[in-house]
Amino acid sequence: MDTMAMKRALTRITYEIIERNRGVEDLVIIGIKTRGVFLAQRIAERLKQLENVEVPVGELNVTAYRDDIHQLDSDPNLPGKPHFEFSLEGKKVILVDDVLYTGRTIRAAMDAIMDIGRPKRINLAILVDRGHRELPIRADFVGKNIPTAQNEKIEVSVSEIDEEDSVKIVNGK
Amino acid sequence: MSERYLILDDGTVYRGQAFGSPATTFGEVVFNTSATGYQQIITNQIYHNQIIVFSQPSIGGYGIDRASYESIEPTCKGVIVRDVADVSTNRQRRLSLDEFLKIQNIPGISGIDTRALIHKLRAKGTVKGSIVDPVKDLAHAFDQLNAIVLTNQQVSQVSTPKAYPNPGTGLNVVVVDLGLKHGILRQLSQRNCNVTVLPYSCTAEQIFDLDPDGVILSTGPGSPTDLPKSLTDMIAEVEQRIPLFAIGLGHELFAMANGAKVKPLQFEHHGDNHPILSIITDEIFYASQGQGYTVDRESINRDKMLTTHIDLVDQSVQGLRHRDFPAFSVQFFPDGAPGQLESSELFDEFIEIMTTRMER
Amino acid sequence: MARTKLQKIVIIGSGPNEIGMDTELETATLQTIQELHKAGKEVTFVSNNANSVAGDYLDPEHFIISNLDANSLITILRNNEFDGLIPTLGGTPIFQLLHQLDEAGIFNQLNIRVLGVSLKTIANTQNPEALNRILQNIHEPYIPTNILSDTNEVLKFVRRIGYPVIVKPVAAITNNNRMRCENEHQLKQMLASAFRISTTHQVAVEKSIVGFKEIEMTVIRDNENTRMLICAAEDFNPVGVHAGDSIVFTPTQTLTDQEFQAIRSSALRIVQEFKIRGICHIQFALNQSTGNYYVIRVNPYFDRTTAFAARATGYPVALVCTQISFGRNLRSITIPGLRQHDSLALIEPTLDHIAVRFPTFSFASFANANQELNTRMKSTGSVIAFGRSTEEATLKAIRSVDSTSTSEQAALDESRLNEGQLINVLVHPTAGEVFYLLEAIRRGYQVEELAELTKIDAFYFYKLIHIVQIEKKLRKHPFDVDVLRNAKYYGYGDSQIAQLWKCSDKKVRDFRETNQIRPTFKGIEPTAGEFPYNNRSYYTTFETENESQISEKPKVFILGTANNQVGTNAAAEYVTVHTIQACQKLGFETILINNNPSAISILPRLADKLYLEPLTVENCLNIMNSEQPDFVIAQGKWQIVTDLETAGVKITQLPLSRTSRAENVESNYLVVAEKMEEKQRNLGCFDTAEDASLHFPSSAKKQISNKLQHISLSELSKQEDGIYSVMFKQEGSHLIVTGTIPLAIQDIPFMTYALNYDIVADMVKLILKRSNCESPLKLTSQNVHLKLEHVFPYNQLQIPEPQNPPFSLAIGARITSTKL
Repeated sequence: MDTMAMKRALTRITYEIIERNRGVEDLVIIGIKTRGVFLAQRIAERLKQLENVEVPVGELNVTAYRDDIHQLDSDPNLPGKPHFEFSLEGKKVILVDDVLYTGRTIRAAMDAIMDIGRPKRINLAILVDRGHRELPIRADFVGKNIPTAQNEKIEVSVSEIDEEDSVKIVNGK
Repeated sequence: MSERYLILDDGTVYRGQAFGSPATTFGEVVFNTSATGYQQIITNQIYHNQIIVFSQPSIGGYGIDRASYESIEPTCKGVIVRDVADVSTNRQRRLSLDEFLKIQNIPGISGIDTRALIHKLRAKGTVKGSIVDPVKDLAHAFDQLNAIVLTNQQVSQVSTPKAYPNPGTGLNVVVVDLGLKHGILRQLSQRNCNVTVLPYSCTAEQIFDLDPDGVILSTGPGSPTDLPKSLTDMIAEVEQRIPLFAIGLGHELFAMANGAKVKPLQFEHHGDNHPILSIITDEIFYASQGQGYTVDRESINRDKMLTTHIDLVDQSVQGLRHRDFPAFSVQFFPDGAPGQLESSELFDEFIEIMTTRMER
Repeated sequence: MARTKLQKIVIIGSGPNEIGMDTELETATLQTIQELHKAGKEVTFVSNNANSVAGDYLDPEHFIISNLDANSLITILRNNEFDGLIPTLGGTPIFQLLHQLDEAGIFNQLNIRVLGVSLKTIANTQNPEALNRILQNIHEPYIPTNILSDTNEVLKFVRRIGYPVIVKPVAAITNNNRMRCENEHQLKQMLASAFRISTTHQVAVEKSIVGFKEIEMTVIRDNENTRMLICAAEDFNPVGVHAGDSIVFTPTQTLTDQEFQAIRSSALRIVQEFKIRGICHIQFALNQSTGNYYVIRVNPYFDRTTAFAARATGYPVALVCTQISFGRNLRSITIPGLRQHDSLALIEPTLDHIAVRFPTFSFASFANANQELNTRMKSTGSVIAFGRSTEEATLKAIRSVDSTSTSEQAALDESRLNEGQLINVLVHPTAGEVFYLLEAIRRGYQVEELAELTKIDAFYFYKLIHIVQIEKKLRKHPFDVDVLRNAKYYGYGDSQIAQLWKCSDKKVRDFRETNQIRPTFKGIEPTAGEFPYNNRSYYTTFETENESQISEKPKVFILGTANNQVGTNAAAEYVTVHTIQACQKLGFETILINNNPSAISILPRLADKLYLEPLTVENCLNIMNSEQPDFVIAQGKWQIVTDLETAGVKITQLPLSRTSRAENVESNYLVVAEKMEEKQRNLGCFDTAEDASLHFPSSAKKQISNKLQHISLSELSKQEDGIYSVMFKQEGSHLIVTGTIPLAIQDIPFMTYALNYDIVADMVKLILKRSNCESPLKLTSQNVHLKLEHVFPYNQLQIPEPQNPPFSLAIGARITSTKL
């Protein structure tokens, strides 16, 4: 996936969000750190362009909620409960991440969100779905399905922090 | 070259030289400001019943080539140029423009002060004109010109009478032919689509029966308001069930099917020099445009449709999208031919919409 | 990082004019300065070009005369707290210099932002290897090149890139040329010797693109990645002839839409990849038998082609790029001219005329130079011509060249060449090629044959054939109205027709007038008539609509100095600009005729009205008939002035010498002295050196100086009103007047700067009889020594420079300033 394809995917996801939600009312977008946040911001920019409405964007660090690293629970460096500038009560949350793989990150993100509020609904937008789910989780908005082997890796770059916008399949050793 | 006249319904007479067919024709006189691609322009069916004035002063320099047909049988009514290149390069076994127009029975006239003519068209709006042989008394020619009523049934003249396939092994796409530009098929072929082209009179049922992944409403000539209501009804039905991409005349019909109004432009706009803004990405690009009508911005129901593209010169609507369905449209020609290729990725967008739905 | 304020901006100018660098950079610089001033910026310009006009637009402390070397520039940058630097207006040598400074970290250290394009990008585009690497990354086709040391490797490489290839030994012991190989047999033969003479046993192998069509795209990109194509131009000559020596047409004449769009898309991708913020000129080679194109050069700066693009389209390139350089974007830039739509900066130019640029050469002055056209540029200037057909534009260009330098164009009389000689010229083009092509057509050569021999697109031969057909008809039917009308329609000039009819120009003109075959004037603007436009530039054609509006104001019609030639060169442009400004100050509407696409005087907002036309009697008379000017002004006397006077036009001449300061006059001192209505005064005194350089202030001791002043005033009393150089030779304690002559055009820019006195303005007042408003002298503090030296093209033409060459052969001039 190159710059253009990535741009198109985010554009399509934005339109689909509008289709699905019949507009942007009560919408909040939460990006999962690190790259999900930039994708969330880009979706929000597009919504602003189209609807002239600022949709709130939040950043979520899910490390503390991961079930696969619970042994580090006591680590004082780990962030605690997430905090947003806005309330989640009764909101339609669009959770955004770059890659959907086992589903564990998303489960953690949902836990984190539930910890601080009770949204009306949570939808999931993902740039790349690479399969191999370990939990019953499914994305509502998908940029691209890229079926992968277990030993492969998907590398998403965003121009905000990386050199370019791209999605690459890297052969893991 | 022999002498011919171009006469306009306001009484103006231009004297020039004949090329192409010796036929006498009548049509609306419209101008095109594109720098390249005269063959694509002449063969584009949107010019049905029209006489095309080229602002580019020298036309014909590279003959006619096999890759530049936008329709097999062009139906424009004439070609007006300042200078036609008498080039008979057989390097690629090409026809010259003159030979081609003779075969297609389209008259041409050269040696016209096209810049002056364009100034007039811009001030006067749409005028009728005729390319005629020199006669002593032009009064008769003017009588004929004034008496002529140009058909408003252009689409029925240029749309295919029968469905035909353009096979591929990818996604299944139905193209509704309103005066189809080959560029659309070319773009779909490049993306390996399995295409069925249907006549403009096709029904929603006929489309559903083909079970396509997506439907394209093509470009075409004339006013969308002259077309039967069954077309907009068909669109309103199809858009709810199948991804839809509408272009040019198709775009105008898509807007009407969703409650917007379409109005004629003061003078037709044909060219590729206007900046177009893609609202969602805030990016500016250029595209080939050819329109005599425009969607009235005020009439768009904002609860139903989103405006996606704007012409930055006159702020006219250049793109729409349905809020509830994966259905969208553009006024300009994303297939170029002739013109910039920057917006051809709209076809990729369409493919991706279809793919996403399939995978769900 | 970037500092927020961007207030003090420095522009590094080019050096003196030379081959390959006419006044186009200076022209773009002036527009840039104007635009920066409008935005409230403080602008400093650094240059050592003695003929620079920038001083008119800047006060003395912002016009820095300096050597263009690393040390001098660093000192200037350290002494002034600049916020930004514009690197795109200095030409190639300046980039190398600035790149050195950048590598040394000077800009970072001084916190100076480089505007428009990074120096690294410029460096990357100038280095073929770096450029190819980047092009490969973005999948753009480039000319494959490789350095190899083994025959098998070479064969493998060539199998990949295909024949023909060019092979060149690396670090050869002999000065061996590049060799073109068409097949494996030739290649193997060539390699054997190439490896032998390479000291490193290596050869450079490159795909040969000689004979491909050359296309030049001028593109603008802004800070938010909006990109637009300003101009697509097509070279008449194929790759192998330097683009600067080729005839160039816009819009492209022979490209299909597919070819055109592929190259356009490539150009847009390239400016995006290089993150250009402003102008970029990209050269492509197109193989028309396959439709494949290759990127050959990327030039992210102003040059000859961007100047042509601006003039040919009427699009204000420099104005727009300046605004982009300080952070604005195309969508918010408005440009003057369009009456309704304020987003014009974004409307892609499209033309309803054909513009052509013709190179002009100065071989008459350098007879022993090699006139063959190859990859080394040889033309000293160029002309631009407009028409409504390819024939018309071509004929007008030929006429523009003709009127200034017929004899120089063709060293050989084409009609006297034997067949072998002619074919040789067709295969190895030389200066003035088009005359030989026309001759070949007259002798019956066929299109396909010519296209094969020359690799020029057949299209152009059809056009040239048409020109010859009209010529034949003219010859056969003297004074036939229809033939004449047709010839005029396709661009024949009265004088060309007169030659064919073997009569005087006047007879043709009178016959034409009697039959009411009269020119019309069309506006040069970038929308092809789609939008109402306030035109200021016009060209002549023979159609129905006349767009030139005639004002009621008092008018002067100023003859520009046409293409850049050795001798008067850029100094003549300087005088033209000052003449225009002086006339405007006196309340005249200024109407200029000129035809040099790089000229400063054709700046869009300088003259009130501009005719980009061949400088011929016919065109001048046509314009005068239409405009009815109160005065016609010319710089000194040259052919066209004489011809116009013969045709009955009263010309008001600036009393200037075009032949430069008397070459054979020996002198040590030169006093500039003015006489106006019986009042005489000295404007200043210079030293003259044996090498023809001028020095200011004069080293003359007080006593001598007084004497010089005294004598020069008495010399002047014998003269008519005017400004003179009074030349003195010192012999012992004696001062001998060796000449009192009108000022030489070449000296005026330097003298104006040194004396801080607008000499041209005084002359204009004098000739327009407005002498009562004489300006006071206001000499600047004389703590610097100024020197004027001439620059000659010998080196570039690869001929030895004689000792003390006559400065009527100078192509540019350098000014040096030394602190006393």
